[in-house]
Amino acid sequence: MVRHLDILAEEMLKIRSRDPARYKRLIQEGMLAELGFDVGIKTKAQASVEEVKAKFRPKDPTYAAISDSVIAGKRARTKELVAASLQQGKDPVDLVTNALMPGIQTQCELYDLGKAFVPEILMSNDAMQGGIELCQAQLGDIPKKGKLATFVAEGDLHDIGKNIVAAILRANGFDVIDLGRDVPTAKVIETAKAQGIQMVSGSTLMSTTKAGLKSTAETLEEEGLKVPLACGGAAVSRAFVDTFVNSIYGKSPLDAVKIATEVCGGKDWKEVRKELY
Amino acid sequence: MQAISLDIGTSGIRGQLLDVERRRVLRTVITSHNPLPGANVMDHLDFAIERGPDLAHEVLLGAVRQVIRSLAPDRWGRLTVCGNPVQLSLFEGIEVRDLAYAGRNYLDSRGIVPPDRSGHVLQGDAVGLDPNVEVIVPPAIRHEIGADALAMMIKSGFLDDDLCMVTDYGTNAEMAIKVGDRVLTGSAAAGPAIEGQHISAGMLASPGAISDLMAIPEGWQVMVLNEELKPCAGAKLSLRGNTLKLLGRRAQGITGTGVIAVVFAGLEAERIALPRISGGGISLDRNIRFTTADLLEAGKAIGAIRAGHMTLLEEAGVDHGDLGTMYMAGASGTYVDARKAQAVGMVPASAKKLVQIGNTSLELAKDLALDPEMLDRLNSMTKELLAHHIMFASSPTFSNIYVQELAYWTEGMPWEAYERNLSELGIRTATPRARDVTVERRKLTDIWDVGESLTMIDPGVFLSGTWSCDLCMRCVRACPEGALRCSEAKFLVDAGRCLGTACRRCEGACPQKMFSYSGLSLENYPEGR
Ligand code: B12
Ligand code: SF4
Ligand code: SF4
Repeated sequence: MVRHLDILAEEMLKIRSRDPARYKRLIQEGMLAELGFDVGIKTKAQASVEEVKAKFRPKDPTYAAISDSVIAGKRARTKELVAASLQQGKDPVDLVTNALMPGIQTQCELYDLGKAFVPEILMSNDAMQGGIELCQAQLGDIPKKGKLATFVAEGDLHDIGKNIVAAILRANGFDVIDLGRDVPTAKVIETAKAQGIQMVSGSTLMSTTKAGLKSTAETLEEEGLKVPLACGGAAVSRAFVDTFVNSIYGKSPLDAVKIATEVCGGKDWKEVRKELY
Repeated sequence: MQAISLDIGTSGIRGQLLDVERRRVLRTVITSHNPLPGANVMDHLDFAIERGPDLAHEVLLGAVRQVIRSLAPDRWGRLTVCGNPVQLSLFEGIEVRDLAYAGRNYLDSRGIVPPDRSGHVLQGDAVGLDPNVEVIVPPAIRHEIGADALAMMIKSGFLDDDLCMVTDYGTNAEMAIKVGDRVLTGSAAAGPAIEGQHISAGMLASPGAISDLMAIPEGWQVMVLNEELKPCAGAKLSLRGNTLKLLGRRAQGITGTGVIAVVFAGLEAERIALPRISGGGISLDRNIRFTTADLLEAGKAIGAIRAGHMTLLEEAGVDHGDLGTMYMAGASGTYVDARKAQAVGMVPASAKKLVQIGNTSLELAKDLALDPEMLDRLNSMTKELLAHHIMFASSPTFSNIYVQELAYWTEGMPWEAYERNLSELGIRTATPRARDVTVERRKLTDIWDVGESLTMIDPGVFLSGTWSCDLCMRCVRACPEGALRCSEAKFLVDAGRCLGTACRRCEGACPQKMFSYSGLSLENYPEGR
């Protein structure tokens, strides 16, 4: 929104020289000087992207290059750089925490500010995972914030949202076993038992498959596993999730991170609902 | 001999009485809506699964009988149908659960076996009609390759063309591309926004619906459908000034083509800066606003269609620039301003010729009624198509593109980032838009030929129930559609007006927990009502 007449005049002159056709149209419609017309002043916004990048960028130039290639979402290049660093004898854990993670952290913070978008997070996550795999191969497991499973309800093939949720959970330091889509309750229970899962995240987008989340939450409870089910996806509402036990509703992938943080911090589903609703 | 052809659509039934010898349409009857509760095939499936396929079949058949009665046939011996696989299966009263759950695990664990849906001929009594009538049902293999999809390919001219695409602009957005002898098909499940549903002031194309916005020197002219469904002038608005002059025909809501026009105008006038509308919504008439939430719905639908088109182009190995004609089918495809549709992304930017072809489903039903031997050809065509069908559900290309669409429409990701990300993923993107695009409105109305008359009827199928309660009428008042009434302690639901599973406000409003939607049964109305 234009707030100041000087800026407006300046912008109008700029439009006139840059795009005379548009300028003429705007003048003809008599709308150029009206409030509500966004001429787009972006100087402030641009500065902050650089600030965020600077905040996380590692001092070490080889680490900075790895972090940059994660931000750029380049998987092949990230793997190359990480392999080279490992060859030089760098510590795998140090590489993950101080070279790969800063990249995704930058992206996540930019996302929170509205300066990065989901596809970029997905690509950065993909690049980071490529690097992490190499490090893991060198040195067993890397410390994680908790162990989770994600799935899409039985009968439903819509997995784009679930993939985003899984990527953002991973980007936030959780170990995620992704069970995929069209997953029957029994498979979730089996995995929860065998893998020591702390929380499951379930998604569904169709009204006909919602019931799968309810049965999964209830069966997890009946089996006495103390593994709550976080539920989301377009067909799922809070009102629906509140009709069954052992479940917490979330709308966005960031809600999934919040729920997972609470659950892995030791809270049970009732406490998490109280905390977050 | 006379024959009847029917197009059973998700938003209504269209029927024609035909003179077989003289190969002519005598008259046309359409219903104002589909008789099943709910607004889309999923709601219809939900109803069929919850209440049993027999009841859903009976409801649909009730409306079909009304259409036949209104067509008033004389010495008729044949009925042909066309439509999507869900409606055709409900019409026949066969298994539909395999259409509702595409996931194999679910189907296997419940022992659901998909029925044989290849084209066949039945005796009328098999579907509850006169045994002397021969009923011809074309193939309807899966959601995406049904008789309606065949119709759009056969009746548009698509099959005789090369490097062209066709799309049925409806809820399921079936689409196909033809390269040489190869035809690849898919379905983008765009959702009902482009038919004007799930939009806060949305409505189907009917009198009072905003169908277009036309540029005028002062801003934009709202076009509203009149009683004959012709667009006429309504309010004038200035999008930049956010002012509205109430003139002309008063509007009641926005239809799908209107939604496309508002998105186009909003972007053009820079009131829409994705993902938001500045000034909190665009007023189009008294109490009619197109909101930011509506923009997100429309964007997700347009995005799914564009992602589908790009996936087909990618899988066919075609450069966007080589694409020739785009055939636009279905009511939305016929009435939408084709250039606006292309500008917002519903038509590939590189298509050089846009041909609007009307409702092809009813035409195929007619062809089949006049030449029943055509059934064999349809069956063999379906087999070939199945071999080249791309399930978008398991296509990483579709997923990758749709994620960019989501970010573009709902997060405001710039277009440059969209193109950059896709080229990083190795997916071809749209070349600069085609110049000198030609538009051919081959059909001005969706029904090609109505014959001597066109009548619209209400399907008038009711569900009823009785129980003893306080008769406080809260349930009746709670119904947002006015679909429920109560007379002499009998509760009557107008099935086609009811919103179905997604609503159930009547039940929720009952203080005594007496109202039972699942206890309602088909009301048998006296003949001729
Ligand atoms: C893309 C799409 C498809 C693609 C799916 C590709 C894929 N790999 O996923 C394809 C084309 C294959 C497809 C197929 C079908 N689809 Co579809 N599809 C859509 C569409 C256009 C968008 C869905 C989507 O991806 N949204 C974006 C994602 C990011 O959102 P999301 O999943 O909700 O996730 C976000 C949040 O909810 C949250 N979240 C998700 N999970 C979780 C979990 C937790 C714990 C938390 C906290 C948060 C959270 O975070 C995510 C990121 O922000 C919608 C319509 C629309 N306009 O929305 C229809 C839609 C979902 N489809 C629908 C249907 C009916 C189908 C089909 C049955 C149709 C057909 N005719 O074939 C088939 C069958 C698929 C099946 N059985 O599963 C219907 C469902 C109707 C209903 N109410 O039941 C819709 C609504 C469209 C319609 N026709 O009305 N579809
Ligand atoms: S069914 Fe319930 S809400 Fe309806 S009239 Fe009876 S008591 Fe009232
Ligand atoms: S209130 Fe009941 S009858 Fe009315 S639309 Fe909703 S479900 Fe149908």
